[in-house]
Amino acid sequence: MKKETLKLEPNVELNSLEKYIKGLNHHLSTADLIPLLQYTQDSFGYLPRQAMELISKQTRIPMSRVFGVASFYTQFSFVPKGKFTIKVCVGTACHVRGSEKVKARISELLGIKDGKTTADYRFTLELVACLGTCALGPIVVIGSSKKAESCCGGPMKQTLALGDKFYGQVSPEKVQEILGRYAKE
Amino acid sequence: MGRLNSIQDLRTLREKLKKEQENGRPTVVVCGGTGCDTFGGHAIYEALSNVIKDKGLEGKVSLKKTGCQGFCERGPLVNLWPGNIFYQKVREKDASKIIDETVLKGKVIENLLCPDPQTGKPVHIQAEVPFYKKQLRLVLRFNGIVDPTRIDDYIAVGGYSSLEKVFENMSPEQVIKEVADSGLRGRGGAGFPTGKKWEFVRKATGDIKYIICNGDEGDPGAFMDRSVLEGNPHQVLEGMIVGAYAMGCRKGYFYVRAEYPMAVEHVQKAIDQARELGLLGQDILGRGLDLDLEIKKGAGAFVCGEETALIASIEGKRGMPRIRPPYPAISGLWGKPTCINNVETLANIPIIIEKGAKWYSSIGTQGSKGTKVFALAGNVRNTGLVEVPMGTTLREIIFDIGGGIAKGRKFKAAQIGGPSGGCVPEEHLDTPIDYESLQKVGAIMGSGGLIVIDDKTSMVEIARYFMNFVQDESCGKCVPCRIGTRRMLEILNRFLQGEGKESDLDLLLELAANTRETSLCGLGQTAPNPVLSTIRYFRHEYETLLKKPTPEAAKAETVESKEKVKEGIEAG
Ligand SMILES: Cc1cc2nc3c(=O)[nH]c(=O)nc-3n(C[C@H](O)[C@H](O)[C@H](O)COP(=O)(O)O)c2cc1C
Ligand code: FES
Repeated sequence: MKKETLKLEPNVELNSLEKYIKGLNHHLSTADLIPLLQYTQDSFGYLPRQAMELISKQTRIPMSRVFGVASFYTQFSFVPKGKFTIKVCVGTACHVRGSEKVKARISELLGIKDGKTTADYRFTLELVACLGTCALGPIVVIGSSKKAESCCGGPMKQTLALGDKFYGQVSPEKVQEILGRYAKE
Repeated sequence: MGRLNSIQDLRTLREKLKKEQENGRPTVVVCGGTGCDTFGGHAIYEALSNVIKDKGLEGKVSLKKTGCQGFCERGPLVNLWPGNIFYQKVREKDASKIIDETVLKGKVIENLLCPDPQTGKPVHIQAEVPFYKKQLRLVLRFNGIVDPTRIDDYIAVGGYSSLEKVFENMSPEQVIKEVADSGLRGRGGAGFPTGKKWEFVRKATGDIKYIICNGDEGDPGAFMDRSVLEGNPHQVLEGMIVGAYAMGCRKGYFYVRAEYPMAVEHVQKAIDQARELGLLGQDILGRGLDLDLEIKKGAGAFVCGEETALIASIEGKRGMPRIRPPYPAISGLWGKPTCINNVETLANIPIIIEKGAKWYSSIGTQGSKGTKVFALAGNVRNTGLVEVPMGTTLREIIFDIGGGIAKGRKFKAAQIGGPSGGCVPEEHLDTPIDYESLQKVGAIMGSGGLIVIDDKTSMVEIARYFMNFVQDESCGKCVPCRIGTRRMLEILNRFLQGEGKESDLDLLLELAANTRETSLCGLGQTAPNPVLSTIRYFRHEYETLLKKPTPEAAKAETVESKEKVKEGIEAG
C-alpha cells in the first residue's frame, strides 16, 4: 500500500536524534537502520524527512534505501499522527466478534476513516491485525503516539508503548464513553 | 548476587532460593498477563499490596504478579497458595475481603469462584476447573507460578537445570540426538523436525553461527508466543542456550513483534538478569561457551515471520523472502549458518532435556509428539490459552475445554492455522490434532491460532477476510502472490456483492491452484487455503450467493458485509 507523505515538511529539531546516534557509540551498519527509524518514529510520532536524511548520512545508507525500508513496514509513517492513536483490532478473533461495527462507530464519532487523523490532531484511527489479546475481542487500544517525553532525553527504554491502554470486549455502545475519556486531556 | 562461575554455583543458588521460598508464607498471585490487565489486573495488584501494607502483613503474606494463566475470559484471576484456590473476575473492591477472609481466616469466598458450567457449583481449586482439567501444561507449566521479571523465581522452581545436565553429561551431538529422539517438530507452522534442523546447523561450516528465536507471531488470532514470552521468558532463553551449545552458536537474536511491548520488556529483563548471573556472556558457567543475545523489534510486517524475510529484516532491509535453498541452516543471517526456531519450539527444549526424549515422546501421536499450545478465541465460551497433548480432538478443545459456543448459538467451523490454514466443519470435529490429520482435512497446525466460528457468520465472508489480509501483507516480490491474491479477492468481493458469475467458482479454484504452486514463499503458497477449504466444505454458501436474490442470499449478504466490500474496494 502506498503511504501518504507530507507536501510541506516542517522544520524539526534533530538534536536529540543526533545525540542518540552518538550515544550508540559503535560503528553504524545496515543492521542499525530499522532500530534508528523506530527510535525516530517513537520520538516524533512520524518520520520527518530531515531525520531520515540525517540517518542516511550517518549510516551511509543511500536515502533511496532508507525510504524503501521505511515505506515497507507498517510501523512507519511519513505524516504526523494525532496525540492519541486508536488501534482497532480487526484480527480474525476480533472480526468474528464484531470489531467492524466498533470501527464504524469510532469512524462515525470522529468523522475520519481509518488511517486518518482528526483535523485537531487529537486522534488517529488505525486498523491492526491482532494485538494478541484475542481472548477478549473486540479489542481497542488507545495510546499516546508521541512518546518524546519519555524517551528523547534518556536512552530508549523498551517501555515505550506501555502507555497504551487496552479495552476489551468493546461494543459499539461503549465507544462514546471510552472516547470521552480522551476528549479533554 | 554475583556471577555464577560453575555448575555448582548454580546449584547452590537454587538451594538457597528454594529455602527462601519454602517459608510457608501464604502467597497471593495476581495474573499480570495483558488480558487480565485489560480488566484491571494491575489495579487489583496495587489494591492487594495496599491492604497488605495497611494491615501490617508485609513479610507475612507474599504477593506476586505472574504471566498469563490462560483463562483470559474470566480475568482478572487471583490464585491463593497454599491450596491453589482460584478466584476469577476479581474486582478492586474484593482486595480487602480476600486478605481478611481467605488469607487470614482460610475462608473461601464463594462468589469469586469459577462455577462449573454443567452443575453450576463453584469449583475451589484451579486444577479442578473444567477449563484446566483436560489440559497438559508443559510449555506453560510455570505461567502463573513464576514472576517473569525475576530470574530468582525461575531458578527456584528448577529453571536452568537443563544446563547442568547438558554441560555435565552430554556432548553437543548427544543433545542433538536427544532432541531428535524426542520427536519434537517446529511449532512455527511447518513442523520441521527440530533435531534435524539443529544437526544441519551443527554440520554447516562457518566462523560464526547464529540462533534466532522467531517471536513474530503475525497470525491474526494467535497469542501463544506472546504469552510465553511475557509469562516465562527464561524458559525460552534456556532453550536457546542449550541450542547454542549443541550447534556452536555464539550470537543469538530474539525477534519480537513491536505490537508486543510487554513481551519485549520481559525478554529484555530476562536477558539482562541472565547476563548478570553469567548465564549469558562469556564462558557460561565456566564451561567455555560464549553466547550473547539481543532483541530485534519487528516493524509490523506479517511476512517477516517467514525465516528468510526475518533475516532480511534483521539485516536492515525490506523484509522480503528469498528462494530457498540455500536454507538458513547453511546460509542465513549475514550469509552464516543460522538456526531459526519458534518460541514454543525453544520452550520445549528444557523439558526434553530434563525429562528425557523417551518420556517426551510418550506424549502425543505417532508423528506428532509432545503438547501444543492453542489460542482459543472467537465465538467460544471460554476463550484463552490452552495446552493439550497432540492427538486431542478439536471437539475436546472446543467443547470440553472451551465450554462450547457462546451465546447459545451453533457451531459452524473452526478456523485453524490462521491465513495459511483452513476451516474445519462439524463433521471433522473428531479429527485428532496432529500435523498430518489436520492437513488431511484441509487445515494446518500453523502456529496454533484456533478460532471458533458460529452459525451467524458467512464463510464466504471469512474467506474474503483472510484473502484481504494476505493481499495486504503480500510483500509484492513475486508475481503469483501479488496478483493472484488480488484477483481472488476481487472475485470474492463480487460474490459478496451478489455479482458473482457461474464461472467464478472454477476461476477461483484455478487461481488458487496456480498461486499455491508458483509463489515464492509460504505466504503465497498457503494463501489460497482459506478459499479452498471453504469451497470444499461450504460450497453451498458460495452457490447461494450466485443465485439471484433469494431470501437466503439476501440474508447471507447482510448489509454489513456489503459495506465492508465497498470499503475494501475503496481501500484496495
Ligand atoms: C508468511 C509466513 C509467516 C510466518 N510467521 C511465523 C511466525 O510468526 N512465527 C514463527 O515462529 N514462524 C513463522 N513462520 C515459519 C518460519 O518461516 C519458520 O519456519 C519457523 O520460524 C521455524 O521454526 P520452527 O522450526 O521452530 O517451527 C512463518 C512462515 C511464513 C511463510
Ligand atoms: S484478533 Fe484481535 S487481538 Fe487477536
